[in-house]
Amino acid sequence: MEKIRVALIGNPNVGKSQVFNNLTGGRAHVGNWPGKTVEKKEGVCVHKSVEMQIIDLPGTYSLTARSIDELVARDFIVEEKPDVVIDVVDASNLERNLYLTFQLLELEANVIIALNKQDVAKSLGYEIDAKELSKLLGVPVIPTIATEKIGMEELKDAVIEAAKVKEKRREHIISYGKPYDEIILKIASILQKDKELSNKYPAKWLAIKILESDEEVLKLVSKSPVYEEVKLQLSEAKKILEEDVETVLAEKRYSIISEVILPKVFKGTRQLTLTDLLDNALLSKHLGIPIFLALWWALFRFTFDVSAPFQDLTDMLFSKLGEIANTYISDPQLASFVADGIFGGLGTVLTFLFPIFFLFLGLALLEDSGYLARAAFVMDRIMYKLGLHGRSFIPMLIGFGCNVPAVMATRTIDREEDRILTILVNPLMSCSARLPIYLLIASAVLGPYAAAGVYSMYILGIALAILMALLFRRTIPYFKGKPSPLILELPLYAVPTMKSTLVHMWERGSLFLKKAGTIIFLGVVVIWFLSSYPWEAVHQGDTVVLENSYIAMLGRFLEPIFRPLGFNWMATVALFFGFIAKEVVVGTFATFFGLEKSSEDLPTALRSSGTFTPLTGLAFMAFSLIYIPCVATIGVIYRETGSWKWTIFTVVYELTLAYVVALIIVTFGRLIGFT
Amino acid sequence: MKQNVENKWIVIYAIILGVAYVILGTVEFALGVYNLFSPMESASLVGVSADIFGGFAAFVIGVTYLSAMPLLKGVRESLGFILVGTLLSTVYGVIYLLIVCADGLETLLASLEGGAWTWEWLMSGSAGTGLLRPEIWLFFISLPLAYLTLRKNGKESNIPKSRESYE
Repeated sequence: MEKIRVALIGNPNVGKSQVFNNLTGGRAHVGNWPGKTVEKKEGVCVHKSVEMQIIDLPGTYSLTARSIDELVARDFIVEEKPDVVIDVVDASNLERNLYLTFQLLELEANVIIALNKQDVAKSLGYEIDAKELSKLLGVPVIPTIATEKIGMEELKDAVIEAAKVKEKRREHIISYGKPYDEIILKIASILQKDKELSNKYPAKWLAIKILESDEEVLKLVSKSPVYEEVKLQLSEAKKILEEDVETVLAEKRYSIISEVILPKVFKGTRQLTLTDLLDNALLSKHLGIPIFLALWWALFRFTFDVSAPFQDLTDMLFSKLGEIANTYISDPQLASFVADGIFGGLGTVLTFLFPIFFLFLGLALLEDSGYLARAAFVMDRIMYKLGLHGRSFIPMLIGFGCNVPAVMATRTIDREEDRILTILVNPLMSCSARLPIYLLIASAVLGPYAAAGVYSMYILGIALAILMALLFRRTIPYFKGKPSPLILELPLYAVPTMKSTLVHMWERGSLFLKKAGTIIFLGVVVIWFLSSYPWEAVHQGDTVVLENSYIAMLGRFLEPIFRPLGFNWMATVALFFGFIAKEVVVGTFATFFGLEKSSEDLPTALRSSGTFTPLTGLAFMAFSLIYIPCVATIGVIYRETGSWKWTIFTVVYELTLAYVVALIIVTFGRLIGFT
Repeated sequence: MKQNVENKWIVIYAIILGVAYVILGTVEFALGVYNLFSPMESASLVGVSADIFGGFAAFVIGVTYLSAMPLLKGVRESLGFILVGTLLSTVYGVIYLLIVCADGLETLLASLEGGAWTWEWLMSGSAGTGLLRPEIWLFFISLPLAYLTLRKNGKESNIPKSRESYE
């Protein structure tokens, strides 16, 4: 029986797995690609006495070898040379899908197009002329509806036919215009002199990749005896070509698709869907970002104001528990530990459970509706211009929850330099641990501007992250160069279900509960101890003299550093212990005022104590936002960068930046008349 | 070119709402800035709150509605601006209503702790002017527009998408 090897390739979500299952009957051998953690799926299809070994390549949008998936797919086609490559193309999204097809044609692969999702295209009011598409591209095009197994027999026939003519290499038909075509041909003709190289790889493809500065191909060609000649030709070419050849060629491919191919193959008109209508406004060039900011403000009103009575209720509960502990525990030291340390310190941190859950509820609604992916897309316009990778926005959004998973999420960024840059600025995104600090200080001193104060911290975080990225990109040689462009699959809009929204909210919010039971509890115990001892010196009869405590000694030692910012020793020491976990800052204030037996609630007690004015309160909030990330984040930064250099750099620059920003707020505020 | 009568009314409705939101947003923003530098006795003026970010949001809603004007020239995609304007209007209307309810709940909790029960939360509180907050009433006024727009989108399921927006 004749045996042939068939590779299956396509963009994500085009129905490739369905085609694979239809061809192989769902029987697959699953393993990993050699040396890679990418899944490799293989199956067998016997048709008309031909055994086809079907290899399912990872879903990919292009073959630029930037991500591991792209590299695996490209290497297989280039090195293993399958007899036929089935390119599964989504008929309802032809423009984006044909980009990969073009790259396969450049590779001179023996391509067959499975034009899938015909039913979806039809439901949108149009059809694709498969014959015309085949004529234009010079490859067989088989219309399919994989979900209904339509077109599968024709596809198998086409594979067998194509395998018969495989010795006849396909010359690709793409023209990039002047002067690119001439330069490509010149480099290709030099490469053809190296028979070993040109027999293995298509010379024109190598030439294109050399122009695009593809590292893998440059490495390959550097071993060739014609390398010097290629280098010479390349330096000549660079004098007349635009700087970013890769982007220029990508744009040319897209313009051929949209201007030459699409107008000839479209039959009918595409209908507008609700997603199209909403995207027209939400992704609008001028209104996209203002709408994002308006929605974000709504989220903060929801988090701050709607959760307020629940926060009061929790506060009442812990106050009552504290009173009970003071009444029924006879040992004063144990009573103080339970009432002031646990119910006062930890209890106050737990009062922020509701705002945090409300924040995650709002974020889950935005995510499940499909809007968050659009927010990343909208922000990419600014971020790319400022030197941040568009994909950085997703880890940055995760950073609003917790910086630890956010730093880990940077793994989706292909270029190492972009990834490290995103890690460095990620702690500037205001995680949920900072929210209790903002809520406390804002409620205490910002009056009717409390919600605005909290919101401005989030905006400040985003602005600083972008500014620092720009600064690092411009000043640190390691980050020089442009970030790679963002390719993002935008999901259809959907009405979020109650179950999935609540599950998402719980998944993220419960992390706060776990933290409260472990590291925050430990921090609060340490603070209670340092604030209560030496016992005799602190507890003088019914009066608590915090100034005599160990913590006050530490605070007074550090206070001179923060005096220019208007922070007293209490604020200084709260920031110091906030290094363990940011929530501990609130726990520290709660312990102080709990020990002093203040009858007022914490924000009122903080306001009455005169620790902060509106201006120093705002500076304190900004300092808390920016200064060193918590222990867990520092740990994960080290793990993800694998470098003490970048870890220490993050700590140092954030401390410096926090000081400078807080100083600017205080100085500028005083200049315009605030106190 | 003959105009679609229903489109015309939808756009006029959207323009009226858009202008109302833009004026409201501008006044709220201006009052907010004024209140920041020279605090007023009451952070509101004839029912309009002094609210910088709330004003900005109302302004954005207004501009979103006004962006639907090309619908008059037959640019069907502009229906999206009406939908998103109404969506934002709903988000803010509902949030201000929830804030008023939260204020009421807080007053109740305070009264359980020994404080006096009053009805002040209905007219003043975290949402500025409580139930008088114009965004709440504009939200109710915008609902028929959302209905008309959705009905139109459903009825005209063969709306052709322009070449420009496809690319």
